Amino acid sequence: MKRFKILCTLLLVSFLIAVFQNTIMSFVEGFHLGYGIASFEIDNGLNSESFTYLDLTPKTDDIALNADNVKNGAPLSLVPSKASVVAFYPEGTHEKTTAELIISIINGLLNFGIVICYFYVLVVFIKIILSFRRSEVFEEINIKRINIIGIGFLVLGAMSTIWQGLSVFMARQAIELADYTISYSNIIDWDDIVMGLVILLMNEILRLATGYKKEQDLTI
Amino acid sequence: MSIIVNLDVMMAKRKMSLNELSEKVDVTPANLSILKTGKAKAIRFSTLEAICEVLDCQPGDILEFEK
Repeated sequence: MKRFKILCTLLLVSFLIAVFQNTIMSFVEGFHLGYGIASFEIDNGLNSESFTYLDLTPKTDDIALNADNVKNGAPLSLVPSKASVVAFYPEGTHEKTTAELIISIINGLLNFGIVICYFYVLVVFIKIILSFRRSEVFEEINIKRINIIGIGFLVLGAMSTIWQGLSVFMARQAIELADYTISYSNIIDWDDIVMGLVILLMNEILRLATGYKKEQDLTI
Repeated sequence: MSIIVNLDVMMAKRKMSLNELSEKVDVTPANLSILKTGKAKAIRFSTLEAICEVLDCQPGDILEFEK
């Protein structure tokens, strides 16, 4: 049981660090990105109507970017294999269609849903770990909570995939590049889906173990 | 189909209380109560043996199969 409690503590600490990294650091990075975009617009006299994030895959290997290695000053050629960029629509060049507006609203709702779902899963997870630390392992309530987390991860994966898919679809409707493809290849959020399925599988094992324990408790 | 536990009948026949039996067979009154009320899922041979010895009866006097 001591080892179990140590693992629970480690898991809780790791999870809190991961939350810090994924939410607070992402927020800081997002702030820097937004600041960079605003600075770029001001510096280049751009008055863009909107912008969108794109994941690009080069169509050929001929694309080479020149860069300098700051360590020794030697020139380097960079061939992008994949790139994430921000595309600006200068004023008057892009008018949103009704379909794009609807997709934007759906994406906004999905984003909101992802945040709500994420925090709900987080709260349930903390409840489980605290319960485990009190040695309440084989309890019905914990099985229900773990089930909620597994389903939560599947829902997160599904929402994230739909969000990515709609974003790429929207970008492909508005933009076509000669050298790059706006790719659908990374839209499926396998991390969350696999995590959700693993959690549900582990929960089934815990459910069986709880059944055995109940039977054992009622053996006189 | 179920197994009926007739522990209360045997205890009444022997005029023995639950606490007295629990002390003699070394099983807590709570567990004996679970057994008596038919909530138990299983009974160990050692427990059955101790009960039979104290109540001076056969396992069939305590357990009964009903269709």
